[in-house]
Amino acid sequence: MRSGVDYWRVQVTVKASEIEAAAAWLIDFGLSGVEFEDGEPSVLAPFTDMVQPTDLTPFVAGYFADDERWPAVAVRVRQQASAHGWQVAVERVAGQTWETAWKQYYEPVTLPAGYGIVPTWYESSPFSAQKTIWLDPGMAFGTGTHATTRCCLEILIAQGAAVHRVLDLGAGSGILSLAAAQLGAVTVDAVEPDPTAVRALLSNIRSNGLERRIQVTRGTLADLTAGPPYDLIMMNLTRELIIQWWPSVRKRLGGWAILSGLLEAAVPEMETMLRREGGLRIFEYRIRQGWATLRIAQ
Amino acid sequence: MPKKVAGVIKLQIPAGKATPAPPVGPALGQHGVNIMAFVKEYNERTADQVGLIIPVEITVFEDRSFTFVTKTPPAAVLIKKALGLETASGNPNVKKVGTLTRDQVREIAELKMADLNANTIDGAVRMIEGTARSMGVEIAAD
Repeated sequence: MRSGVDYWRVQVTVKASEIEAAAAWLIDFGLSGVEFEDGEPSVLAPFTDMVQPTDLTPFVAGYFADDERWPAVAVRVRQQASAHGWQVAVERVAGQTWETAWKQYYEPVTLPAGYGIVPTWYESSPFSAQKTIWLDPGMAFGTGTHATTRCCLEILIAQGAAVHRVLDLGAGSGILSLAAAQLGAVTVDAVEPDPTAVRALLSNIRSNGLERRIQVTRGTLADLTAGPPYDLIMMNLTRELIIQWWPSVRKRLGGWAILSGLLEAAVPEMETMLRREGGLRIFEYRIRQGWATLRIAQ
Repeated sequence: MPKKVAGVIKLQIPAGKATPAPPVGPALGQHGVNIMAFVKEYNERTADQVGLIIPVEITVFEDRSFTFVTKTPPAAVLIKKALGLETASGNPNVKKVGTLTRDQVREIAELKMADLNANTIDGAVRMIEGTARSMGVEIAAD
């Protein structure tokens, strides 16, 4: 995948005591953030095997898009850095290098009951054809390795999804929709607002040949046409989004649901939310690495 | 047995609003970290500090899993917030952009004590003053 945008990485060498001022200065050029090295030991060093380098040169670095504004920005950056007495080094970074770099480490993921997720760039699957989910997450969330996705998948596999109608809110890469369809769901509505994720989602549906069973809606629950209640609703979102959408979700739920993307600390709030409504109970809590996934039903 | 560390990445990024765009993408991508997984986790854990840029230290292990620790907002961010500044001075020796009172400096120093490499509040105050000066912010005489 190519983003089409290359960047200039501007690294400014400063004194350790100037890191914060230099970072603020660089961000003022319109950046959303910076990378830095303050030479301080890592906070985790005592708990790992980390060998702490002692000669780290403090720096602050920012990334500027290689567009028509760059030449003028470059001049101002150099002028102002020199007024501060800071050294500047500039290096071009290709957009695609980092967007795809992590893929080389993404390997097939084994799930319970013989199911598994295989990157689409693999030639063959170590799992049986009926139990393989082909996936290229691109820049979308959902590789099946994160604790929240993994817990959702485990619940899905344990419970089965041989139902008529499924809704996947915030489908991301589509991993949960694909799994539900593989597990027997007749129709799945995958709803996702992010255009990058929608591209990944559509391509994953094609890779698995599930075009006739998974319908994609670009948008939110509000963009979904009215229909009969869903037998299963999956929300691997965030605490805020779950609370925001719950009243509308509740109206469309006719069976059971999975709520995930929640920190463990948010569980009591979910319990209160469900109690207030009445009618639904939490049947299962899966807590992993500080994340909670809940299975709820009538 | 502790996991093997592959690298440490330090970033300053917006609380609750990080995206895969730089600096997050290139910094994490080159270490093999799943960028979206980090973004989701970071935004969820910093949702209560939206509006501030905060430093985060990300430790990447050899199996490409990661963990991160967030710190208090940078002194420069707190100074700008205290003075309502949009930007710091591009040329701090010549152009001054504001003045902090002693109380404001002390307040920021107290907030930052946990992260600063300072043993006493006076040491922390001196560090905040230094940061202010390199932003073109003066300290009130009294």
